[in-house]
Amino acid sequence: MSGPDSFEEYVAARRGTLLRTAYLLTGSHDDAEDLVQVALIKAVPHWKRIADHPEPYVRKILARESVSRWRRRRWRELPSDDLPETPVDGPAAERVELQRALARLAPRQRAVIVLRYYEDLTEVETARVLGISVGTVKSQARDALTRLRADALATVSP
Amino acid sequence: MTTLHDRLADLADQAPVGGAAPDLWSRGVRRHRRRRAVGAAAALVVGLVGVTGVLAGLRSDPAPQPAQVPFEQLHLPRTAYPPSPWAAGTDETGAPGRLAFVSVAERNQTRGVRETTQLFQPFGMSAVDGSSVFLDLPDTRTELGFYALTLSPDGTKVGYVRYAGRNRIKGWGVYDTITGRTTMLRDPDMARIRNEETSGLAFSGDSRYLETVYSLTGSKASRQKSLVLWDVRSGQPLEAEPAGHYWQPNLGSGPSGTVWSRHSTTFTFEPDTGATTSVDTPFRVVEASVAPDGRGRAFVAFGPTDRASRPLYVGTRANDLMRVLVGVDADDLLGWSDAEHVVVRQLRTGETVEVDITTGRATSLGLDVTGRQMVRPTYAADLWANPLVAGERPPDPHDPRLPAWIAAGVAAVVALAGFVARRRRRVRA
Repeated sequence: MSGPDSFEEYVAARRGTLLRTAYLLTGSHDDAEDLVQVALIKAVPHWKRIADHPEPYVRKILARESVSRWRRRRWRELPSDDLPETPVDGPAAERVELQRALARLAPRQRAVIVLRYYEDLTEVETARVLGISVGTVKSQARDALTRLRADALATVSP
Repeated sequence: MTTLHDRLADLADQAPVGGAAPDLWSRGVRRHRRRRAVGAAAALVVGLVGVTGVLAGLRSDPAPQPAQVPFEQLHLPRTAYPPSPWAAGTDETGAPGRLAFVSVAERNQTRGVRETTQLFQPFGMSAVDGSSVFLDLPDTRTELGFYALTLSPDGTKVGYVRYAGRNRIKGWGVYDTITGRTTMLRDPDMARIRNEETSGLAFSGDSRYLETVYSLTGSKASRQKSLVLWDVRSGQPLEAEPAGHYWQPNLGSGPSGTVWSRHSTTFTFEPDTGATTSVDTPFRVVEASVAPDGRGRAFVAFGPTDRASRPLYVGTRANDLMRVLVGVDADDLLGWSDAEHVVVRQLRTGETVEVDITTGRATSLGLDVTGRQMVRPTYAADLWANPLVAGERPPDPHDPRLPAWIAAGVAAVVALAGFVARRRRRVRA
């Protein structure tokens, strides 16, 4: 089965997981939902080919789209360093801290961090998903981790 | 110590749950069709632009020739190729520069979407690079395909008869191959030229005067034709030989001024000074030519009968001539390669020889004329002094409507493919 039915089944089963990744990639609920929709819509023409194992392809679209969307938007949106008001301590504060630190990363660095340390992909897999070299993955990950540590995430280990 | 994975997973817990996302499949299908249609349209446009560009490139002619080319770099071709019937004309390409020869060849003209008309039109071959181009001369009589056409010895001017209708001659034109301008020569006293000898059109040896034979009074009667020289700079006529002779003068050639013969007398006239000379020969002269040094002579004489071969007489002085046999019928004296060698052509075959006027020895020049040419080429006589070159086979451009036909074909195929694809989708649905 490789038609609309299997697609709907996949969406129903995996949409939540995709939204979690998308949220880490975008840092925004709306953007995350939008990103997942776009990734799924873009996967439709290729569904016949990927139906048996769609996850890698959808993840690839998701990651690449998050980077390219940022590139398309950065010239028309004003970036802000100020995140909304948040609690000052406890687990919620740590989440905000991480969210803030991720927001300061370049989109490709952020995608590398999410794929490597949340999705647990290898460097080779990460490079394949993002369409970059393994060396670039290594350097982007190193730089991103340096910046995350500098942003008061010293208690975090890779 | 927590891991980064844990912290990221904790943050991911804040991700939206996701509401209903209906129609993702059909939205994906619609997006794919849109992109495919846009891609096909873009490919079609790129293809058409590419095909048009390639065809335009194939059709494009070489850049215009520089006006100032050293004389040593100008050459006559051994093989006189006509341009392709679809070749461009000077209206498109501009002035062709100095020409090696002019002739008349078949030219195609589009009529509507599919039809083509064949005409015979004048063309010239460049003396610089051997390229051929049709000469878009104003007021020519294209429907008959017959031209009174001549080329100046230096290859810079094309003289021709201008028509107002099928048979009504209104004057002459001189097309400048360097500037592309045409000087319209017209007798101010006559709107219509009568008794004109279109076969007697030639340039003076210095390329300055166009030699014409017609009646200055407009009379169609005999003994009314004058030899009139037109100064192509000023457009003014000058009567070199007044009317009064039964036959038209047999025009010849010389290094300057004009040369013509009547019976057994050959005359010269220098328009700048008004000086005239005449010399009698023991034979009746068809054509006389004076060598570049002004001393050597060549004469084509009338044979004993009209069908007999015409004898050729040559000599280093007008009063010291010898009859020579050169292996071909001496019909035309085309020019001089130097003061001692005259170039002679047999009209029937076009075979051309160079004759040494001191020894009488003839050497074939190996000239050839290819393609459908209506007349024998008229060469730029000065250029016989330079070595001959092989001649350039012209490119073969195709019908200018071809890009439009290809575009229509491609559009039809795309439309058909779209129609079939749509039908198949409907059937599947």
